[in-house]
Amino acid sequence: MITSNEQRKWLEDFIVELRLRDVPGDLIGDAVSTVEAHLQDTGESPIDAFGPPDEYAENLALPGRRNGGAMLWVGRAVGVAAFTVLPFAITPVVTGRDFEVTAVLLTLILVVCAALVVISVNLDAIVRSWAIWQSGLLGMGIALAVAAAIGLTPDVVFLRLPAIPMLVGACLAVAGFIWWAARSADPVVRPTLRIS
Amino acid sequence: MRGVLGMSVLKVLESGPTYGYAIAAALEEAGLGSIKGGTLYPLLTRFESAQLVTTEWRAGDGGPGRKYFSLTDAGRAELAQQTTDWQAFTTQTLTHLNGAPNDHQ
Repeated sequence: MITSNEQRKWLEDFIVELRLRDVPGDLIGDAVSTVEAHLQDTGESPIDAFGPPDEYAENLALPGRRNGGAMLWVGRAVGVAAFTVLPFAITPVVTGRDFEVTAVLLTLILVVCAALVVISVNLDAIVRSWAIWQSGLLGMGIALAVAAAIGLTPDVVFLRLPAIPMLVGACLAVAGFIWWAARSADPVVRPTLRIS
Repeated sequence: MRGVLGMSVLKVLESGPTYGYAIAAALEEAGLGSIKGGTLYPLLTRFESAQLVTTEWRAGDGGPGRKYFSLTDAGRAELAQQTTDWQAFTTQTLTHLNGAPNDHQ
């Protein structure tokens, strides 16, 4: 079907607003298709028929998906740990040494997790109202925090573990995280049409 | 006015399942003004949550298909109740408005 740029932009903003409200993908698809069908029938512009996308998303009052909040964070923390450990696990296998659980490694995992929390908590503001320089500043702040964590943490080794099992474990954890993230993705699904 | 609109939408659905634009057109034809999509669909979504209507997507002619709304038994009961209340309210209001000027002195 023919859609104007204005309509495409409006629908994109509408989807973002529903996503920020944690509305499940099938309900988003339903709401988007409803708007499209209505606009095709009336020939109106989306702003004339539905008003601003954020207000319409608010007024629709679709239920948010609030399940597995704690699981989501555990999953993300495991993902951060796995992705951080993986590069550190390669070198000891190549050089034939033990894998070292260092203070730097643990600090790094903590800093990346903290950055993730900061981004998640401010996600609404970042997407809706932040200018590019503000997002850039946050990115630089995170990079600085990572650099500081590496530079300032004392060089302490807590634990030595066999390198090859550690690398295999890290690879499995990364693969598991990718599988979990893909499974919990919630794509926008169009409604199924009944042919009458 | 919101209550009146809700009642009017339920009334349109009484004659059978139909889609949003047709509901808006029927209301306009009945002289109830033009209802924007931004007002109509949030109302229909609330009706769906309250199980006053059920929905079904049907294929249209080349378009994205249309979402049809059908009145449930609870929706019919709600319409009957609101119609009764509305009649009682308008009767009382008209009695009041048509009363002689000195009645309340």
